[in-house]
Amino acid sequence: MTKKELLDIIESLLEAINSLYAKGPTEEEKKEMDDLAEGLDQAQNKLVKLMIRENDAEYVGLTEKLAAVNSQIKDDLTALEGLRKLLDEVKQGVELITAIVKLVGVAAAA
Amino acid sequence: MRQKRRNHRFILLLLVFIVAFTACTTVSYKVPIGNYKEANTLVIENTRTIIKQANQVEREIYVDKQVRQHKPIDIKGIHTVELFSQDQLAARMKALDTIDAYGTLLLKIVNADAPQSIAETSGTVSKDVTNLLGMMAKLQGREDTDFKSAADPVAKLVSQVVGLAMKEEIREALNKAVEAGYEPMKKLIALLSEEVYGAYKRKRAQLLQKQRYLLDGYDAELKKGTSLREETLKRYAEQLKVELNKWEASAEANPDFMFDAMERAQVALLAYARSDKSQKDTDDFSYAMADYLARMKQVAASIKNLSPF
Repeated sequence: MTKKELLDIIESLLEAINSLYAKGPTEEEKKEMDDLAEGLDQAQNKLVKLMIRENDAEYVGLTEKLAAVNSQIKDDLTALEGLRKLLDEVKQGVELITAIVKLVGVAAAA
Repeated sequence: MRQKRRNHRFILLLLVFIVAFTACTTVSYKVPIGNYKEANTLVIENTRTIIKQANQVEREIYVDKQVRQHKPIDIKGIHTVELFSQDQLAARMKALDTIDAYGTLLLKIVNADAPQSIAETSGTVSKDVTNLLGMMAKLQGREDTDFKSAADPVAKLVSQVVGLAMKEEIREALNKAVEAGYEPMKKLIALLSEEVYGAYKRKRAQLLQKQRYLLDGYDAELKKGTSLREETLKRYAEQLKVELNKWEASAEANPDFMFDAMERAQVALLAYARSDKSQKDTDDFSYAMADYLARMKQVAASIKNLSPF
C-alpha cells in the first residue's frame, strides 16, 4: 500500500465519522467519534510530514541535475548567438566587397 | 551541358527543400513549446500556493481543535503540526524555480530564430550578394539578363546556407535539452505530486473538520428544545451549506490532475524530440501541448476557489 493510498483511507474514515455525526449521536458516542477523528487527523498529519522528510535528500540532487541541464541550454543559446553573429559578419563582408567593387568600377570608368 | 544544368537545378531544389523542411521543424516547435511553458507556469504557481499555504491549513486545524476542546493554544504546539520547515520550503521553492527556468530556456531556444534576426538578415544578405554580383558582371561588360540567371541562385544559397546552419543548431539544441531534462523533470514532478497531494488531503481534512463542528453545533442547538434560537440554527445551517459546497468543489482541485497532465506533457515532449517530425508527429505534439494547457487552466481555476489555497 502506498502512502497516497493510506491518505485516501484516512480521508474515507473521516468522511464516515462525519456521516455518523449527521445522525445525531449521544454525547458519549460523540466523544468517541471526536477521539477517533483526532487520532486519524494526527496520523494523516504525521504521514504527510514523513513523506516530505523522505523526499528532502532527493530534491537537492534532482534540482542540481536540472540546473546543470539549464546551464547546458544557456551554453547552447550562446552558441546560437554566435551563429547569428556569423550571419551578421557575412552581411558586413558582402557590404565591404560591394564597396570595393564599386570603387573598382569608378576607377575603371575614369 | 544540358545534363550539367539539370544537375545544378536538382541540387538547388534539394537545398531549397532542406532549408524549407528545417524551417518547418523549428517553427512547428514554437506554439506547442509556448503552450508547454504557459501550462508549466500554471502548475508552478499553484504548487507554490499549495505548499506555502499548507502550514496555514495545519495551524487553522490546530487552533479550531483547541477552541472546540477548550484547551489552551500553545505556539509551540502550532509549530509542531506545520508540514514544512523553512529549509524544506526553500528546497521546494528552488526546485520550482529550476523547473520554471527549464521551460523558459526551451522557449528561448525555439525563439532563437526570431524572424527579424534570421529571415530578415538572410534576405538582406541575399540582396547584397545579388547587387554585388550585378556590379561585377557590369564591370566585366556582361548583359544584365545573363547575370540575373547566374546571380539569383548563388545569392539565395549564400544566405540559406547560413540560415540552414542556424536552424539545424536550434533543432539539435532543443532535442538535446528535452532529452537531458526528461529524467530530472520526471522525478521532480513525482516528488512534488506526492507532497502536494498530501497537502491537498490535509486541506480536505480541514473541510471535514469544519463540517463536523458545524453539525455538532447545529445538533447541540437542536437539543435545546423549546429554548433553541432559530437564528443560531439557521446560521449553522447556512455555514454548513457553504462548507458542503466547498467540499464538493474540492474534488475538482485534485492536484493529481495537474501532475498527471504535466507528466504526460513531458512524455509527449520527449516523443516528439525523438520522432522524425512527420506531420502526424507534429500534430500529435501540438494537440498534447494544447490539451495540457487547457487542463491546467481548468485545474488552476478550481484550486483558486479552494481558499486559502
